[in-house]
Amino acid sequence: MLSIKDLHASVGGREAGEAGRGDGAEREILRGINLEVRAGEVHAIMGPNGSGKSTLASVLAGNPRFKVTSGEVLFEERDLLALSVEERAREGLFLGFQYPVEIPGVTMANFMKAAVAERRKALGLQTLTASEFLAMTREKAALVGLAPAMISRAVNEGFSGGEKKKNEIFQMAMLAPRLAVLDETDSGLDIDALRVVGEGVTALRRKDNAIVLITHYQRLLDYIVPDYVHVLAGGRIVLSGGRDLALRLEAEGYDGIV
Amino acid sequence: MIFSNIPEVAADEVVAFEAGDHAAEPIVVKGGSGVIRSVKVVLGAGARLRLPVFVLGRGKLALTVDLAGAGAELHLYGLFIAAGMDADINVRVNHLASDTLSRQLVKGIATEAGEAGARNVDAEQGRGEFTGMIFVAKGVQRVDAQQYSRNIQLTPGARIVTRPQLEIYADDVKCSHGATVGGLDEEAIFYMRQRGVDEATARRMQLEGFVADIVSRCPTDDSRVEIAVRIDKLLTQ
Repeated sequence: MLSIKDLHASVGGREAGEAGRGDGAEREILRGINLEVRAGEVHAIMGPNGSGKSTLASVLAGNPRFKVTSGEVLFEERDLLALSVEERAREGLFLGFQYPVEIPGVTMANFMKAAVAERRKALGLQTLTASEFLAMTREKAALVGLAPAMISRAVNEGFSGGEKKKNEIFQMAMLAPRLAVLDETDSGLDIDALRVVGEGVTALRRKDNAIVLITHYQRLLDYIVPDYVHVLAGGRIVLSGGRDLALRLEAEGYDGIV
Repeated sequence: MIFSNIPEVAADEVVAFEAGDHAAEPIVVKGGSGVIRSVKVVLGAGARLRLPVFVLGRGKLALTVDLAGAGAELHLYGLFIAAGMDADINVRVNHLASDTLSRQLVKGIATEAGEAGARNVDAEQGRGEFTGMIFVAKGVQRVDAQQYSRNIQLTPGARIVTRPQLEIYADDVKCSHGATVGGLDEEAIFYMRQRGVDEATARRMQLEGFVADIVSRCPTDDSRVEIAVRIDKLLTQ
């Protein structure tokens, strides 16, 4: 489903004539990532702060802040890096944001209607009727314990930290992605919200989709049990293993392993 | 026509409101020929007015509101869109009586019109201007006034000018004002694109969101629809 080969990416570089802050020097953050994710699998990517975890998520989604300098990413046999941000999403790549963005004045309903319509178009499905959309909204909101009324609120505006993260998983449920990359979905969650989010994600786990969890801590993996755990450090995957690797990291810390 | 509360003439107009709650139909300058409309609103004791105002096209609105009686309240919501032309809103709020309150939220969008060719012509640049004066007369007590100016400059050649001003001759006054000018939120654009919404639609949705809390203050469906259609036309050209 996802095949990453020797991926290098940088931040901070500036196009000719582009105004910007800083000295414009490019800094390489990903220094040769290799990763294979197959349908039905859950991979956890762990690592210390600044190791490049979130950059990997951003690069997969096509965030224009980062520049891929070399390497290859295949998503469902297609050249992912050649696709625009929205094309990647329509093909079934979902990024759960570490910091979900507030969009004043844009309601969740309008936003999700537009997003779901694009996803369904890409799948060759008909646009949902208003009542089908509403029914789907209720069902998916219940999955993550969000009040259905939040659909009439502006996107993430005034949402608590926990609601924002639940809203990410709600959107994932609405869009039924082939591959979900969840970037520190557990950060800022209390234990109850963590359980709800974890169970929600687990309920969305299927044989034909895959999930990449990016996390600093082991605790999320109590609720979403991964098939593989990778440790990212200095922009490379330095260690891979099974579930037990996460427990070892928790016990010994990154210093003892990386 | 829809905007019947305040007849659309270029000369000075004066409208007075008595005690009670009033949700006025919007004052709209539709522009096109650089029309200047000058309106004076007088609020008597206990008159509480919600007033939406719009300059949508080449033109200028000069609005004066007198809070003339105790307990008068003004809730003003304004929007100007300068799409390849000048659009100005000029507001003067006079607190002439004690225990009066004013709230102003005026939003602006400036953008160059059309394609590259038009950008060489000065008049096509798009220049939006807000001038807002809060005046508090000598001797009045317990005045509460707020004024916020929020603006989006959509293209590099467009201009926003915002001038919030205070003139206060009394002591017991609570006053705050602020102004911001920025572009669209690129993080939000990325977020929406990541959900499959194309970039142009994402930008458009964000702009519609920006104007929504002004447009929604129009009291009737008819006026909201007419304003929305007009905005749509301006931002599409």
